[in-house]
Amino acid sequence: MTAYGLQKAIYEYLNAKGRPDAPALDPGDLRPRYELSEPELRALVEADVAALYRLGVHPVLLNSYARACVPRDRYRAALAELERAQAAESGRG
Amino acid sequence: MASLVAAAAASHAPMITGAPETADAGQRERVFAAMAELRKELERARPDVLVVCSNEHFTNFFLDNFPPFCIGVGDRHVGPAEAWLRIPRGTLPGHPDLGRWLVERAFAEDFDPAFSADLTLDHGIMTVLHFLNPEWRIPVVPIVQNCAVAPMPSLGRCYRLGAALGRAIEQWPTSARVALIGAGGLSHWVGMPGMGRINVDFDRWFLDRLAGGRVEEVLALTDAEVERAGNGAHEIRSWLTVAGAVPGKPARVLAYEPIAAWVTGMGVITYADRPPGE
Repeated sequence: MTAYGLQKAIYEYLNAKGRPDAPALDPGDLRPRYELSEPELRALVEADVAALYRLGVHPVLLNSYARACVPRDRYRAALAELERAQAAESGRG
Repeated sequence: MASLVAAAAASHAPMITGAPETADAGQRERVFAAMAELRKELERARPDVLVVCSNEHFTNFFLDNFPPFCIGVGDRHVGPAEAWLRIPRGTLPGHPDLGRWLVERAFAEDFDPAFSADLTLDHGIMTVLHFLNPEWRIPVVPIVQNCAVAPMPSLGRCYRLGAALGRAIEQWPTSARVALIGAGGLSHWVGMPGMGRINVDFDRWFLDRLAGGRVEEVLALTDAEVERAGNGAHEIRSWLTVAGAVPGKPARVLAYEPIAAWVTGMGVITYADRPPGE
């Protein structure tokens, strides 16, 4: 499964969010626990929607993460930019 | 025996409660009016319990175990999962007797749903209940379907599950009155490029098929064809589950509004007959 550890980290973070014992997004803890690559870790900690999408996070899970952690305008702008990039890439192909 | 006293479906875009003011006022009020009409229908139908069929959004299940169907058998449910939904988090009454009965009858009809006594409800169910059962007085049996992660149960499988649920409700050895509500769709793109697009042609085609009693044309769609209306369009499965419970009955469309700000084609239907005098 693509990006399984990354997606597991997001899922567990969202499910813990709001609980008193909720873990912070601590890079030192996340990387070994979920076996994240450096780009995965960076995208997760920075809530980089475009990077998370390109890394293979399921769109429905990405949506939950973005709505919880990213301002709406920034979220939509990131997806719009992705769409433009995909259109440009397919135009070149 | 129990009776199925109401059947309906509605879109569950989270912005309907999370940011309703972002929509065009006319469109928003027409959707709100349709939900108010649906609530009046439910009040006339006087259900003792609501069975609400929606889809999983990674709220309860992850990729290590993602069931095609899960029936909530808890005596209570917590929701909503999302803090930003503008619906206070709380505890809703469940109906474990009906939940377990639906599981048992599904097994008897060769369906194998998972069941859970601890489902958390997210916007998929909570937004619709906000309009139809706002004080959470009526107990709820939630059903979540996999409408997101391939491979998904086919459209036909969901329709046939709905038929089994309809029979199970009618065979439940109580005098309870049960309403079945579907929540999800219509066209929308979730968490991917294209978000904000709405496929009005698909939505109108879909609603026309339900209103014309021609659901078999919808059931013939492949997942790729559904996806032309966005990855969120797979949530029409919840509408088809409801349709299966009332076979042959045409739906009455109470509203359809493609609301750009809510990034969703917003539909509301009922299977109730038009009230006398309207």
